[in-house]
Amino acid sequence: MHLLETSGLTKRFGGLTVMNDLDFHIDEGEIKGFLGPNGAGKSTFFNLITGVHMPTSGHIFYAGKEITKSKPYQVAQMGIGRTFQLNPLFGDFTVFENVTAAYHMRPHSTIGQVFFNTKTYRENEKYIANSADEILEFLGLSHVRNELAKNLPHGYQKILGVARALATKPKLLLLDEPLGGMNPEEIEFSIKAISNMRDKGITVLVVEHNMQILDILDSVTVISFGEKIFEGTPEGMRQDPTVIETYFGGTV
Amino acid sequence: MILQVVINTLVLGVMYILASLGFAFIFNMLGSINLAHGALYMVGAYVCYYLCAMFGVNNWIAMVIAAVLLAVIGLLLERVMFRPFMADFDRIIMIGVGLMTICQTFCTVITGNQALVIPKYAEGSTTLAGVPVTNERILTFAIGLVLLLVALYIVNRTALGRQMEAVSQDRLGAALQGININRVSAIICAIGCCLAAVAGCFMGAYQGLSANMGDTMNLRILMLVMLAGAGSMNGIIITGAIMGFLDSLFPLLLQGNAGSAVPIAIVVILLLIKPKGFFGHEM
Amino acid sequence: MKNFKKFLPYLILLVVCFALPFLFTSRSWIQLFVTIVINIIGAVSLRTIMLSGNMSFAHGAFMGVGAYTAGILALKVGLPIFITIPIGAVAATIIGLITGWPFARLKSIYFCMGTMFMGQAIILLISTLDIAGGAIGLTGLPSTGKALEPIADALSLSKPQVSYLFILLVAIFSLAVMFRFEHSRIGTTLRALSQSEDVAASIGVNPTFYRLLAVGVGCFFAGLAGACSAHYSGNLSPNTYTMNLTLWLIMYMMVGGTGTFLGPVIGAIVVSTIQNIANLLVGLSGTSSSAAFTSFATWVGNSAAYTPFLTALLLLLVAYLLPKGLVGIPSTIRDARAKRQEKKEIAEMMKGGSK
Repeated sequence: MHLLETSGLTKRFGGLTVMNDLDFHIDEGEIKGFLGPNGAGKSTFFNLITGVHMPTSGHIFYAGKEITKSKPYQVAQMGIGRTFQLNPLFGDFTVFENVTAAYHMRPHSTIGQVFFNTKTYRENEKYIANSADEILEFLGLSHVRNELAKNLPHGYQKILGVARALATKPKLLLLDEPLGGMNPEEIEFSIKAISNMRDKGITVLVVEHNMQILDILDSVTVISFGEKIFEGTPEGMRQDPTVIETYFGGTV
Repeated sequence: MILQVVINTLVLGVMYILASLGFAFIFNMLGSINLAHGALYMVGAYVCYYLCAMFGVNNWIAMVIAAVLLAVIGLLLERVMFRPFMADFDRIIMIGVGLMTICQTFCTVITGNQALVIPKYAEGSTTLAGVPVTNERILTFAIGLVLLLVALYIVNRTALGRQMEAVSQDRLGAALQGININRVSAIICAIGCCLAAVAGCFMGAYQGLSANMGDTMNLRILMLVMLAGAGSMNGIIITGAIMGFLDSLFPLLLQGNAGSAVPIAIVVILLLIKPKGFFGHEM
Repeated sequence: MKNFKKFLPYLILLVVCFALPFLFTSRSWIQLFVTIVINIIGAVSLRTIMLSGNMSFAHGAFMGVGAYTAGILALKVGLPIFITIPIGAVAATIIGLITGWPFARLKSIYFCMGTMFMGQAIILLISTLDIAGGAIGLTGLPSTGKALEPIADALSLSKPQVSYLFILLVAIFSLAVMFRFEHSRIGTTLRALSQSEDVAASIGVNPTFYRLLAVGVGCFFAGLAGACSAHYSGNLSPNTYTMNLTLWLIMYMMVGGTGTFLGPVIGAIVVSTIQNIANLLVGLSGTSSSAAFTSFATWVGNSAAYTPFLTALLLLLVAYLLPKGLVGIPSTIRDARAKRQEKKEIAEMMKGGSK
């Protein structure tokens, strides 16, 4: 059984078909790339999976359950974390608060526990603080822990988006252009961090333009104008004539 | 009764629309809610009344003076209120409430509990379809309609109207196109306040003056602009007519507060069906 | 020790609140204190709703729902006030949740306006009911003073004093609960929701649930405040709970500053004191023996209609000069100073450069 699977996924905005009959799957423990030129429908694909948009037709299955009609928060509660391409964040929160805000699901405190400040609630809060610090450490954000998120440089904000998604303890992590707008050192660091996620048992699906990411991918799906044009290993993709034609507009 | 409702609908509808246009201009162009707009409408009516009563000015001339005065106030408000605090919802609301309070207190203080009415603009009545209708109402409707058509002509057909549309869709883009945003919004504010004053002058003769006439109108203005939706000038005509109809019909059918409660409840239900209004674009 | 320092201002405030009715025993003073305390609950509960990013313009109406529920139950059913007040609060919560549910999907200005019309409709509809006394309202509600008479006698306090102390206790309870609410995980989640709904949903926050939670808590305390004020004064009228009340609650919050918990408290104290200063002086002149004071109070009473100018002036001053409200005065001054310093430094640098 695949961890995430879509069958016949189609999305039209008015008369414009941005995703046509897409069959896709990702297996547990994989780091998979979802590639394609600008406007190929990559971000739409994320929005369809996470319930931001409803597909026009087709089905999405996650861990054997159909999630086609789920709302964004339900999808997140099932264990799919995501980052955003334009990377909105809680700007008025500090970096630390941004991460802790994502812990509101687990460990879960009931409203009663919160109101009466019970021992369970306090222990949960302590656990959250420790665990958030661990994530900040893992992603190299510890030194900006108490900065306001909106004051961070762009690359850090992107990494913070990943940290926030990690804090929801996802089984599947969707990263929307995690390397966009980063400088070379940040790119190197982020790629290492993403490949480390495999060891934490997190399945990762990456949308990216930057081809440096290919080194750590297990498999790749390439789409163009909402249609799948390639599925296979990164090495296979580099030699695939259709992919080359789509990217470079001719034979090499 | 049917004819009475129709006539009241026409008169009230046109007046509501006139009073709302200024609010809608500001809301569409700057995204600001001017809670003091109803108060400006009231100030127009009071200025007109006192010019007539104290200086014996002819009420037509008084209306023109009130309109000009309010246009100046509109220019001023644009400069001190809307331009500096455009994106700041909190402060616009605060200033709006502050202005509203000042206007209301002023009117309360000078009138006390007297019932004031602006002298009639026309005497006599005309028989329409067997029912006598006062010339006053016919005149109110006719002049209101003419002003409305002029305003619509400005919005839909002139360069100013196109600039307004451009600014309301994309401020920065409009500025880069060489449109003088501040000039456009100043003119729009002046026109809007001027129209509100005219509506106040007519309504002051029709329903009389009171220190809470601004509140009543404010609620109507907000309702019909929200029903029309952001960015829709022409939608206001339809929602204004609907509002006028509801306000003409229900006070006749139901007694007491129910007459004013039902129209509001209907608007709430309509807004629940279409929260962003019926004719507007997304904001 | 650090904790103690943090809570010291609250402690002082608390002591002052309890001491007030003993320092100023006159009925007019206590009337003022009660009004302030009620307004504090109203403003703070409004801010609780606002934590989720939506400003409710129906808050005065929910105070009205609480007041009317308590009033009708006390007059028509004959329940004692210690039952009617909580039921009033619960009724406001229920009405708030039912009416808030369809509005929970709206954002920003659409939420404001939708709730504004709804609040107006609720109060107008209530005022069409015969059981609620129509456009006149209800009179002769059992007063808190009467219900607390045994306690007043036992402690040899006057009825207004003991009523004030009762309402103060209600307020302390309310503020404590709302403070916990805001400074807990739920409060963090609400503030996250107010900053970005998309991101909040991506970490599993159910926006509708949390918005309604905030609305429920806010309306509960609004209802509580409404019920208390109705029982204190013994009568209630639909004209009390119109748009104006809501607008003023919003003003208390904004004048004080929306950013902090203390903001609406300070705002409510300052603005409602100014609003009621004329009433207070007129009330005091009846009991005063000083002729000069009496004539002064009469003069104030005659010009009472002008007091709204003062509040309006305060609103404009805060709007133009204090972006963070009254609570933000220290930080506003600090910012201004830092800016001036910076300018000076830049000017000096320029001078140095030109040499």
